[in-house]
Amino acid sequence: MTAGRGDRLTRTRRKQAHNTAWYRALRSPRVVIAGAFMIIVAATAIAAPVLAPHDYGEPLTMPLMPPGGEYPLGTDDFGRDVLSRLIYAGRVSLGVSTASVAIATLVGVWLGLFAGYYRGVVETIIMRSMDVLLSFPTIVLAIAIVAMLGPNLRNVVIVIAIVYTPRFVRIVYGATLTVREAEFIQAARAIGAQDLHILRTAVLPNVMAPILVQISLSLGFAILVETGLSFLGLGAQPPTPSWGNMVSAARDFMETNPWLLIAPASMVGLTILALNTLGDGLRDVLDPRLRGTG
Amino acid sequence: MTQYLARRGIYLLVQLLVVATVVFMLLRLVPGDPARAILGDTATEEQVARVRHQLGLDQPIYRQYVSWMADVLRGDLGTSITSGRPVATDVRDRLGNSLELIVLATALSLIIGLPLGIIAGLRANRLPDFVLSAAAMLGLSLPGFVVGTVLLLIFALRLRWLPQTQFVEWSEDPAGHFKLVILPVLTLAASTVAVIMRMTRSSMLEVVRQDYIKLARAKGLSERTVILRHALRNAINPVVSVVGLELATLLGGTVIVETIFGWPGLSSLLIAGVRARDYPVVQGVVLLIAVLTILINIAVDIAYAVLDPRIRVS
Repeated sequence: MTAGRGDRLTRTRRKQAHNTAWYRALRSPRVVIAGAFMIIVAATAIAAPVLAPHDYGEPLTMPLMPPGGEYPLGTDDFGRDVLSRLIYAGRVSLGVSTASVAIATLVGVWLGLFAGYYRGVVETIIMRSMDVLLSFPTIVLAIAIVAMLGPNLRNVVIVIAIVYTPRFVRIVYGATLTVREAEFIQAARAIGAQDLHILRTAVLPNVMAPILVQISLSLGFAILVETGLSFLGLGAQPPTPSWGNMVSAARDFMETNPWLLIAPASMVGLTILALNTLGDGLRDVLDPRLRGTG
Repeated sequence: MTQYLARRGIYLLVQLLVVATVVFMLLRLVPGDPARAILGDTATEEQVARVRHQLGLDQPIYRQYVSWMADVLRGDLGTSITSGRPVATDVRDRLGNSLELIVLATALSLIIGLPLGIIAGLRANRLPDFVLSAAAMLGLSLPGFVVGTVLLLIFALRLRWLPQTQFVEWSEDPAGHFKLVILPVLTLAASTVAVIMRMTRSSMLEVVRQDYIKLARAKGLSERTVILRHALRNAINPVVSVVGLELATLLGGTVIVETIFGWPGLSSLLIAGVRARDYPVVQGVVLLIAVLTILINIAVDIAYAVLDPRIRVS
């Protein structure tokens, strides 16, 4: 009773659909460029200890040295190597956003599945709680929670996960509502399949496309929130670098030493731009109904 | 319509009650003793006890909750620990400054975003559309703190066209106040322009394919009439709802903008409260911002129901 012929057929068909989707995505130059950029940024972040020429926290030399020579991007007001800080900051931002979006996805997807599949009391409790979270503007809720828990990166991960969970719940909930009435779900229920099994094997694959799109868009938003909180002094604490607190620190010297501002500002801008472009591109290929309208 | 409004009204009350409860519980997230967290390790036990009493923390939790709710209903948001002034007074003094930024940013976004969105929609997949869509993507992706800091560097520090951060009231010096408001509003509007433009573009794209547009053209109406009277009027609904959602985003966006430009609004009060661990101020501002967000959403829903009768039924 494992993989019957019908099961195998749908699986092959699904794989084919996916292959053409990826193929289509790879034909769009902006998706390819954004993807390549993100691969480079992610690889740099992972290999930061090997790639960074210097220590990110130790004052090494004269403060505010211009770019060039041993310090390709110059040094900051403490005499620390800006390039090394930039590389480690990428590790912080990508790490925080990946961790928080992973939590938001896991929690959000299951809450959404339960709410949409079971309806009734479960649905009311889950969906109304999400409404409450959505009554606060994202950054305000994030600041409020960080203010209470204390400013550090672990709490920033928790906070971003909390504020982005409702988006996943809503998307999965909506999609589950439509799928649950489909004949193949009724059939699965009729032959006595367990609810969890149905959710995992029949419902989840059918809501995968909007989840993937939301993940790539949320990664960009999460970096926006992390760097914003760090800019306000509520995220990464010194000496840990974040693109946000690097921009903030650069403000006092930006007239004389503009590179201190330009380096982290371009990195955060380009990274979010790349993630948004990927999200848009993914939506275009995975959800053809929306193509050309976004 | 009456039934619709009644239903929304009851839902609104429940929502407000829940939000007030959540803000009450925020203080319970503080690890350990909030009074100790406010005062730091050097404070004596008596000082800690006094602040604990001031926050009502020496009472059982249900009584704290009841008195918090009763105070909030009377418009009493507690007393600031750092300034000793009622939070409600501080909040009232600063609300106007924040709303000023939001209203101006919304107006500017509509003035720029609508026409550009129409142009992009009508010239879809041609050069103007590519340029505008790329610009919109940039506007969406650049964080407010980057846009604000760069604008400050260029226009205030380098070109010296605009003053930096000495706040003056509108009533004292209108021209000076106007110069001061330009950069914060531009920063705040950057992403909203992009959102409105993208929504207008996709909505126009959708509408111009419809048969009634073909009919309008076939009747020999001028292109201008077809676009403005027939297409735009039908395309505007989704834009209205996106503007409503953006108002809430702008409310959040003021946090960064007010910090960068030293603008004395609600959000800079919030940040000052956070830095000083002045929990009553944090709770008061967060509650007010949440209530404003809820009211904006309700207003948008009602406006939508008025514009589109189909919604009232469902």
